[in-house]
Amino acid sequence: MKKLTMILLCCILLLSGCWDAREFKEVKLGITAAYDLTDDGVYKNTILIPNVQNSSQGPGKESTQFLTSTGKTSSQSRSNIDRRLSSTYSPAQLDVVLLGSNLAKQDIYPYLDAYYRDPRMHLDCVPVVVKGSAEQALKVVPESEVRPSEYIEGIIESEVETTNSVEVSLQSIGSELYEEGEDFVLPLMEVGDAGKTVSYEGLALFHKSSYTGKDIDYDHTTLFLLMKKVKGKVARISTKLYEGKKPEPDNYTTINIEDFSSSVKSKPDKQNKVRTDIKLELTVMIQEYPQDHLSLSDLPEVKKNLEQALTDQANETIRTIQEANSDVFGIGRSMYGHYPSYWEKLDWEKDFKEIKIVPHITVNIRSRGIFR
Amino acid sequence: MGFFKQKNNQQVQEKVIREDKMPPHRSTASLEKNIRYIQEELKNSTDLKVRLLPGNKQALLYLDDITDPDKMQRYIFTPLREMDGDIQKIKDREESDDLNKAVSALLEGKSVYIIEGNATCYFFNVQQNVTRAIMEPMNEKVIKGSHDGFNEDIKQNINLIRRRIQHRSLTIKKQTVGDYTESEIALVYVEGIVNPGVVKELETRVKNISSDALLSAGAFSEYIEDRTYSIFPQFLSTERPDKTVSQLMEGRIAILFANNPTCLIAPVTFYAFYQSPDDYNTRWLVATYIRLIRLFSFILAITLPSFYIAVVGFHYEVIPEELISPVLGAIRDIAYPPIVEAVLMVIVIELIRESGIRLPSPIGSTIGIVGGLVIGDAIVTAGLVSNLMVIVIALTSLASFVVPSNEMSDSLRILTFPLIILSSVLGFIGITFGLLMVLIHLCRMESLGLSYFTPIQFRDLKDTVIRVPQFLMKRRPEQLESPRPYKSNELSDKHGKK
Repeated sequence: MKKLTMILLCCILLLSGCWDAREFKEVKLGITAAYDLTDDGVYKNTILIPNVQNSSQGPGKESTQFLTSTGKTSSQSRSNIDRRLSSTYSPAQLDVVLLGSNLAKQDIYPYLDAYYRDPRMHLDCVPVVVKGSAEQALKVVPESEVRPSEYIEGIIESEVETTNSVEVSLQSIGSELYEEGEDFVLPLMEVGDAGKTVSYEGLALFHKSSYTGKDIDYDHTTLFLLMKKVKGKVARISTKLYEGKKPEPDNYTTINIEDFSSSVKSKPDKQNKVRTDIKLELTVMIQEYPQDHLSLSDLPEVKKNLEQALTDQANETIRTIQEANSDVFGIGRSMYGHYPSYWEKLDWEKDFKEIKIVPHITVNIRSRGIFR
Repeated sequence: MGFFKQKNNQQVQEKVIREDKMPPHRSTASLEKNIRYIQEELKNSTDLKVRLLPGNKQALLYLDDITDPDKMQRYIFTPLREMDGDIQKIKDREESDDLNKAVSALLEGKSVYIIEGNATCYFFNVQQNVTRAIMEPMNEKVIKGSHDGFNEDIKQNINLIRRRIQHRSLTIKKQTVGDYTESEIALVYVEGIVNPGVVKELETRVKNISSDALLSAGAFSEYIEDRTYSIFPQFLSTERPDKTVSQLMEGRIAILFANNPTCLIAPVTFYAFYQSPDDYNTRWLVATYIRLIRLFSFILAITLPSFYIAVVGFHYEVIPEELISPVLGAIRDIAYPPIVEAVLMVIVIELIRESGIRLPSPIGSTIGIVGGLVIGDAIVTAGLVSNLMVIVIALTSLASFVVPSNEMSDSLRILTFPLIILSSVLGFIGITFGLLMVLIHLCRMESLGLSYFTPIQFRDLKDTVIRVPQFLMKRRPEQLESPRPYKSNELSDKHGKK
């Protein structure tokens, strides 16, 4: 009896274990997926699968395979893709989800729902909005890339490093998709060069779970992200300091942000319901000043113009955000936290457009470079 | 478990009487009778020589192959001539009237002198000593430090230890084991440092060994170790006197064997198998670095193949993005599941190792090249095993050879198998269960009644996972419960503080 029990116990352990095995070589991993909305209102799902030639020498050459299918839900279109593959399709290593702008303007949650439910999904995957067709962007495969499957992900990573894009993933936007009081931005891309490259265009503003159609331009992303307390490895801002100098480049300067501190404080206000002060202190190095070597006596003026230019830029960004009704600074959540009774009286859906957001930007010039 | 049970209907066999417990057999005054008795007792072996001296009144008996003719000439015949043939005037002799003692003496390599009309036998020690020169042990080489090693002569081995510890507390207790072989063993310890309870325990265990023959140190340890079914060695074996002495001074017991250069050390902890005499000869920082690498190699040796199998078989989500295409490219066209690959590769490595051991060294290295390069390359090109698996298994066996102790290295390689099987059926959970079992087993183990896997507390870390400078290691290891817990009386050492 004892023997039998032991054998049965072993069988339970070993057999149930084998059942669960999922061999790596027997799956096709999708690296990038694109979702579009067709005119008929069904989803079109395109995935990129890297295939590697057998490689006893070196890592082997990668070739890419594209598959497109349609379906009523994202899972259905996924099953439709699976039907055409020699092995099982697995999105477990999905790095980027491209969402066509048509689709993003609707609710994006239904497409992403399956990703949140399955424990095997890769929640670190980056959602990206593409102006126009996502499928088209996915199919851009520059020949110079060693690993074509990592092309789009590479673009985002390098933009995060230069403080032009936020580090987003399905996990990080998860709570903001549904909660009131804070919205999010996603990277925005567009197919350029007559379909040969994909370029990064800025940040797409979301309200609740749909794309507002308004964006923060590429030129304004760095300042916006600094106000959101995000800084990559490098942060550079080019801005116009003067008017009417000749030649034209003399009007401009580029600063490199070495250090920054930022705070967003909101409080109730009688006139505008809510008043938000965004304080941003930048410690910068002048990286480019084409006019001359920049003498010490000029510094106060440069500092003043710089602060003015940056404040103008910030105001413009804030205007776009309010027009889009996308509370990316989380002002609503902060109000809810600090003034819960006051929050009850607000109708955030409408009031956000009316509140006053004031940027206060101060610039300390630490260095003019090693030139002088 | 019927395989291990003693059968009840086992044949009852006669108990062998050991040579030193033979009942006395009085010798008679008749020369002929005495010689016949001895010849019969030795079953008329042809190497028993009976040399009748002129006049046929006196005879010298000896076993030809274990006596030294030179010594016989020097100690018997030359003095005999000088004393005018009177054997009783030669001083350097033993005597007895017990013929069974004479037989024992012959077996030890003595020669027996018998005289007609005299019941007393005289024994002369003319034993031939066959010893090897003192050489550095092949499998325990060090870069710095003493290069001598034990050999097959127990006297010489004790000599090597005595020369290193010149103190009256160094205790040597000789005993014999094996009813036929009467192999001599010596328990060596330092009285006052060693835990007396442990000595008593070891002595009891040795006394209770009942066997016809003691053939090797390994077999001996199986008689007295705490857990024979365990995969881990419970006695540290070494052929180095310096290692033995440092263990003696920590309060452990060394067991030396006649005709065997191996010395067993007990009680030991798991970490003792990861210490090398080199550690105490190099800078402490370097020694610490190497120790950490060795311990890391322990983890690597038992888990790397199973980790790899679990990843490609269950959890490919954890592969970093950059590695997906290389991994996929390597394993895509392999016909077998990863466990078959792994077992195949492990067997190939074991074959190379095992075939190389006993071959003479010029052929041995050829086997290494043929096995390692040709098979390794061809097996990947043929698509039987992926090149990643070759890397994994090669790293694993390298890591298992890093261990200074040979037995521990063997244990590690065996331990890889259950983990490979567990990981191929249960993934990471399987590895976790497997490692948990190993850990529980290690914690439950004892070496001579003292805990084998002593708790890793900060004090014991100093000479286990890392090695701190000597002046910081004032305590003997906690595990031994030594009556002299400190290595020095000067507890507040002024060293390094000026």
